[in-house]
Amino acid sequence: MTRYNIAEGHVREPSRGTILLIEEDGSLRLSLVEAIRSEGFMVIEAEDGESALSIALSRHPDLIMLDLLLPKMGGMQLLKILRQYEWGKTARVIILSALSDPAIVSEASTLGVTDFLVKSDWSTEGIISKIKQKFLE
Amino acid sequence: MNPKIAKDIMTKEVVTISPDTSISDASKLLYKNRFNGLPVVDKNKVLVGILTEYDLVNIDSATHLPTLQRILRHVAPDDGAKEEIEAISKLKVGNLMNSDPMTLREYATLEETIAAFSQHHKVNPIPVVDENKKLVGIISRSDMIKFFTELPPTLPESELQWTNLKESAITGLVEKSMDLLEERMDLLQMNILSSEQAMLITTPDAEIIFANKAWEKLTGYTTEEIIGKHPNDLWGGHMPERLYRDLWNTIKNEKKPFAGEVKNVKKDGTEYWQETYITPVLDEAGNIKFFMAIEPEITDKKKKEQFREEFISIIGHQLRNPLAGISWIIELLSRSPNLSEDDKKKVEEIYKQNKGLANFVADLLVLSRIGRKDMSKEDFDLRSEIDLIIKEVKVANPGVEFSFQSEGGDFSLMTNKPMVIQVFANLIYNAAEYSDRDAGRVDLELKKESDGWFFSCYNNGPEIKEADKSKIFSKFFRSDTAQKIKEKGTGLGLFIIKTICDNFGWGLWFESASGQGTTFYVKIPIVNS
Repeated sequence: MTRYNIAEGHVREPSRGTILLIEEDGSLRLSLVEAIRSEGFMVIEAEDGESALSIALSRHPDLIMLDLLLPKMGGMQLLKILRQYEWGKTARVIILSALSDPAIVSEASTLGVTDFLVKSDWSTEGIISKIKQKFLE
Repeated sequence: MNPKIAKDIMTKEVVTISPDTSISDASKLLYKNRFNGLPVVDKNKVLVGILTEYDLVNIDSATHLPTLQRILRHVAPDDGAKEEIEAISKLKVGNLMNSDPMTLREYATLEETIAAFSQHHKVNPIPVVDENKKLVGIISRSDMIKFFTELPPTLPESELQWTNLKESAITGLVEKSMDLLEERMDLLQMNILSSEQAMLITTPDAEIIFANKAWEKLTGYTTEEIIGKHPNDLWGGHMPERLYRDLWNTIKNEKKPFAGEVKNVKKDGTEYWQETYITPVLDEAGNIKFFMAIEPEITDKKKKEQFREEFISIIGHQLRNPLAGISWIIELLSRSPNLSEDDKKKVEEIYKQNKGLANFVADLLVLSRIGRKDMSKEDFDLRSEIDLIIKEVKVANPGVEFSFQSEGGDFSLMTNKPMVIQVFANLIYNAAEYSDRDAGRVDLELKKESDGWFFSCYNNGPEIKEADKSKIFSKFFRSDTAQKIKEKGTGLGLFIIKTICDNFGWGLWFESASGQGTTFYVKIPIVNS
């Protein structure tokens, strides 16, 4: 835990907020990270569910961008565990996934996530505006 | 239990008669209990013969049916028959019985038992004896069928009372029960009574005469509940009428097998989709003897379902991820200050192509979900969903005027919401995109009518050409007009919503004429509104 304390103090200052981006695919991360950073947000990247969960619980990002199909721990499982923690109960989460199965969408909404973005339907521009909207809530 | 020998299949409580029983009493016993035959035993329970219906009606035997019936009905006989009746009433079972009946030993194997029935067509039932010829049980064809199907046989004479038997009824009864049993034996021999496969047999008028256990499991109805009824009054009748007309025409008039997917409703009200194969079984003269409906094995279906799920997931993730990746990287690239105007245009083209591909994958995914049996259902208000869609379409088409009229109060639906939204979003987006380029108008209406809800969606754009009208709902069809207006359409939109509507049992059609724009209509049949 203490590992991140320094970094936390360090990054908070200049940014509009911290976003944890959980995405396995390198090129998707590359384009999203660049787009989000250009808007003045701080981005922490995670490639798998397990490390993403521990980062989330230790660094308490302002927003989590969550993919569902992830190595080590799936996004839905991560979300369930997250919601068991006091901080995690109200953590802001946007799901950004290639999946759009109605059953998965409704499961996500029972876990308090109403922003379910299907990757191929959204431009980075659209995603940025969604993120900004989320910070206003 | 998996009975292997005659002893396991036979009926142990046997009604027996003695050689001294009068024919009249024996006949009453036969008809009253609807037995096909009665074993005749002596005082020591040793089998001495069998008396069957066949013995009573056999032309060569000492009596004949009409006379016997007169006795049964206690009707004063015609003068000429008096002597004959007196003679008959003196007859004893011993005079008419078959004194050398075919028997089975209690340890006869299942195969021997089946062979006995299938090789000797008219023999029924067969007494089962021990080594001392003592009667221990009886096996009838119906026991065999029961064993194979775990069902009690349902014979057409079940409602008749022996006292009211008409002459023709008795003759008919005997023939019919024999025929029916023989037919059932034929079915057994055709080896189609596997317990996994749901099977139903009806008369040529679609009256149910047989259903197996798997069918009970599938529909939730017990056999007793459905015998004698019509499938449409039970689980059927939930598809557009056209389908049933086609089905009936195929099996009844063309006498050909029908295969298709139908939506049925279980006893508890849950809907299910089922592949159905119905085949007419013809007699030698080519007349329909009965219809047989078979629904494929569940395990097989499960496998197919699994394959479909995997397929969806593969398309969904494996294609969508790189599609999103390409599109986002292009976005990054297009923002680069070092890009020449010329290159920017090229990048834009790549973006459009990629977008088209992404749309296509999205359409494909929707298509593959239609008709899935596990489609979730929820309660929602159609009118407010349409309101939301209009808002969205307005943003994308700021130059278009919208109006939405709806009357008739509550429009709550209980069905799969994403599919419904797909239908209405597609129609409303289309209407806006194809409306007049300079002064676009879209008029929507949702109202209640006596037989359901009625939605219309008008746009004031160019009409659909006469030559295109029949093709508009076909897959991959794109009219010249559409190609001009919507460059990256997939040609699947209307096909998809038509498929969804068909699936729901909704009507979807359109009207279009020069100068009058185009109106699409949706009819939602709501039975209990």
